[in-house]
Amino acid sequence: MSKKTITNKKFISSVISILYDTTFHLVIKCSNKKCKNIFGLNVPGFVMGKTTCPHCGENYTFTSYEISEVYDKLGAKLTYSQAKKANKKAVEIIKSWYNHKKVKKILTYEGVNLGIPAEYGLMPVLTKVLADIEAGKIK
Amino acid sequence: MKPSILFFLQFGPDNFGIFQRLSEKGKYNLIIYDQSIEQMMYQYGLPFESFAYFLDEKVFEKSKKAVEKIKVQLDEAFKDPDFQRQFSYKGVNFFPLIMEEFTGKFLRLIEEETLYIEAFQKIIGQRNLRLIVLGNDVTWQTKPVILKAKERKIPTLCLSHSSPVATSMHDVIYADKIAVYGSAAKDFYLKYNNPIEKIVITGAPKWDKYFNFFLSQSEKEKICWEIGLDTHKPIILYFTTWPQTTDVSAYCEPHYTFKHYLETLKAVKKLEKKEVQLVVKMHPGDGTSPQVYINIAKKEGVNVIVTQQYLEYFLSLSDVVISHGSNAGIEAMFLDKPVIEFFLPTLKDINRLFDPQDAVIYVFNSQELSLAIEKCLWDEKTKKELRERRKKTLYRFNYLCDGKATERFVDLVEKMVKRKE
Repeated sequence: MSKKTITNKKFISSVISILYDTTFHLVIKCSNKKCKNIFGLNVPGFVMGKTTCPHCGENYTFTSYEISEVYDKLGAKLTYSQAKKANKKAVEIIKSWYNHKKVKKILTYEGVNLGIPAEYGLMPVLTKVLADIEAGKIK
Repeated sequence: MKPSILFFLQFGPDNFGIFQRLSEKGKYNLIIYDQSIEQMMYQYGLPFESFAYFLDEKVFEKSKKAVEKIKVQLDEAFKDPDFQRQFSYKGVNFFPLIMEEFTGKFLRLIEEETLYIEAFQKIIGQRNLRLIVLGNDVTWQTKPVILKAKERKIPTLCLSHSSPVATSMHDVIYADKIAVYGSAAKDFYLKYNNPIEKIVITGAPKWDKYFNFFLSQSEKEKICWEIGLDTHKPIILYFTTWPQTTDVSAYCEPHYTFKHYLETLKAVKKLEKKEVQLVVKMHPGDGTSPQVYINIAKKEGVNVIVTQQYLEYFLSLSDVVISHGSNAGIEAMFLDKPVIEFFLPTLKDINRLFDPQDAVIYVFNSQELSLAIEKCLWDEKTKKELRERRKKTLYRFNYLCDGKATERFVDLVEKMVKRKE
């Protein structure tokens, strides 16, 4: 079983998202020719990502800088006006979903609708997917 | 029973003066939820109560049960097609794509929300609570407390943690009042239709330290020698940028932070023969290892010193500052340093802190940045122009700049406590 550490961006076959919850979601194709396993890795924040292929034990180290370079080719990229549209939609949803009749009563705790304070914390979940839709990555 | 004031969430050690003053008055019981402040109160032998005292086992138990109950009910409700229809954009119903992440995140957030609601109710029942002072009024920790306080008619006051720049979630003032640093912040909130009576200009208590701050030449030389800088060569101080996690506009330029840094390195590299030195000051929220910044600079052939703290010392040592809509640019002006605002073209129109008439030079590529650095270092006309604009800029961003913002903020706190009486 190989134990060498590889620092090379070419094995990242996909970066699913970036920055908004300060987590990179990577899909990695194992460089071991006999293995070629595909597996996932979450790299929190801007720290370095380290992982091992669960199939053959090959080790990988990625810096966030390398991941960023790959993202340039693979990630969603918006113009400012596209971003504005997606952002407007994100704010509209985040400030209203908790008033829907199906959830309003469930979410009310001691007189507080718990969805209201959660607006800020939930924004990154929406911005990510709306940017992908706006960029045409999700249809 | 003494009137109690609850200080909720982080204020940071630079705001310690507020706590010290209020404590020394001996009139109030201070309930504090900020580890750094709590430690300083211990060190100075000042009396206070920790908010953690009200987070007992019963509170945790109650919150846990509530969240478990909500989870079961939500699992069912989130599957409802009519509910999911709200999460549609450009014909895509995207809720199924995010349901797991959304649910997980929401449950984590409400674990904290319910805890703070329970703890708050405990304080109300056991103390004579007259005012809540908040470190922010937008997050899931502070908002439930504000909402409960409104119900119980307890006034809330938010202390700005910076001069705001436009992001989609910072535009509404939820607290009864907010203490802002200057007219720039006031104008920002008015632009988003917040009531004028909610906004009070005090200046920034945490920046009062600059009005007693002075490093002698020998102190500067000592620090430079220790960290490997030469006092006889120009020092450029660069602030790393930080992506907005709640703003889709960051998708215009993913990994903006690194691109911005790379372009800065290019500009500095062009000045190699002029023997400039580069210091990188990382954003306090930046989790990157400093080694990453060092490695990138090495690759570009530039020597750097990377620091995560001691901002005022590095500002004092520097000859020019490069920022990207950062409040650190304002702090640089307190110490009379020229500020260059460097924006990459993709985000050049968003999140600008300074106006063009402020004491900054705006640049948009590495070529322009190199020229601006040269001008700030060696062109007397540029230096003079920036110096002349600095006073007006500082007034806009920090009101009187007299070192008395802490005093004004404490006065506001006392007025609000009295009003409640």
